[in-house]
Amino acid sequence: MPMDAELVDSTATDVALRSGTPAKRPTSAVEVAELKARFERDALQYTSQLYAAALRYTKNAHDAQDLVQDTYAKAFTSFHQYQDGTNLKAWLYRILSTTFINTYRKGQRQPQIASGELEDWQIAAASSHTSDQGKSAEDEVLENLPDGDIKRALAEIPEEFRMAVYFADVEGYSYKEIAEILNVPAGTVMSRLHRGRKLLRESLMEYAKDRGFAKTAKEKKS
Amino acid sequence: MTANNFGVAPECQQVMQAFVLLIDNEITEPSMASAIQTHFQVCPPCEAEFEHERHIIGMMKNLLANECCEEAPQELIDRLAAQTAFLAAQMVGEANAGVATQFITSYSRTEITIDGETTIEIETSHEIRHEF
Repeated sequence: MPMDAELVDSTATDVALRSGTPAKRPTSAVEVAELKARFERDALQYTSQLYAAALRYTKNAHDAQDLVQDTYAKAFTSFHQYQDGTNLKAWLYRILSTTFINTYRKGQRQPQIASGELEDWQIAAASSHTSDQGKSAEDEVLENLPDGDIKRALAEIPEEFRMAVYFADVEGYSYKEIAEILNVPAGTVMSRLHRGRKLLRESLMEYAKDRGFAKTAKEKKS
Repeated sequence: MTANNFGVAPECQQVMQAFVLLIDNEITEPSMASAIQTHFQVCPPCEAEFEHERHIIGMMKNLLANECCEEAPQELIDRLAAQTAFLAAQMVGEANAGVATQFITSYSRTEITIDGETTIEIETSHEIRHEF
């Protein structure tokens, strides 16, 4: 259960130490009260954002709630180490990602994509210019995309790609920031992002094709 | 530089590989940015490709931002408030180690399935005692 004292493992401490602040636990009830007030004001304001990111990870509301709760438990016990002025939301996202990987993904098969990732994406990068027809078909599909399609497509792509796309395209983080959140090199972020967007686009075109949209679009043109 | 059905020139390919960096504002070397601009001047297909990529990624960003923005449910907000109070009390207990303290928090919730037929009640209580 998320309220177990055992929950407080080394993960959050590790994250906090990386921010470069010396650890100093509150030593009185007054200091704890101050810490709690600051946490409630500064950290808990991101509950919805963390929940949305957690949903991308877990793909269901129940696990997403647990993941957010675990994240905040770890964040609270390390909050005295958090340094003002550094990006608090990114710090929380990093705890969320680490918690997901350590707790929820444990035992699951992890895709081996680390090696050769960069070369792969370079090969996968466009090897020809897209025809005008191809361009306008994609344009039309995206402009008329039914609700829910992009959410479904994002959920269906592998986690590594999904989260890179989420942090870049929804949260607007830079490669460097995403690299810190996901604990991978910035070059890996770039390749995952590139591949993730490509997979997403392919899925969206595929859905449209399944519903006969591409055909309709073509007919409209002729 | 010339596009055909069988692929593109090596220069085009290099430029196209940098599209992702250009779109994400991740190009740090000014010489790279200007090399791309120079290439665009002599290669309209690459420029068109880039504009298309930027447009599509921009649209996808908007679609994603509109759909992936779920609000935290009230249940979660309540759970976090209870948890924070619990952890703070525990921290005070640790700070006051040596003094006998006791904390109990309880948590309960009711879940009703979508058909409204099944009700699940969950009750949890946590107790921490320091007795010296």
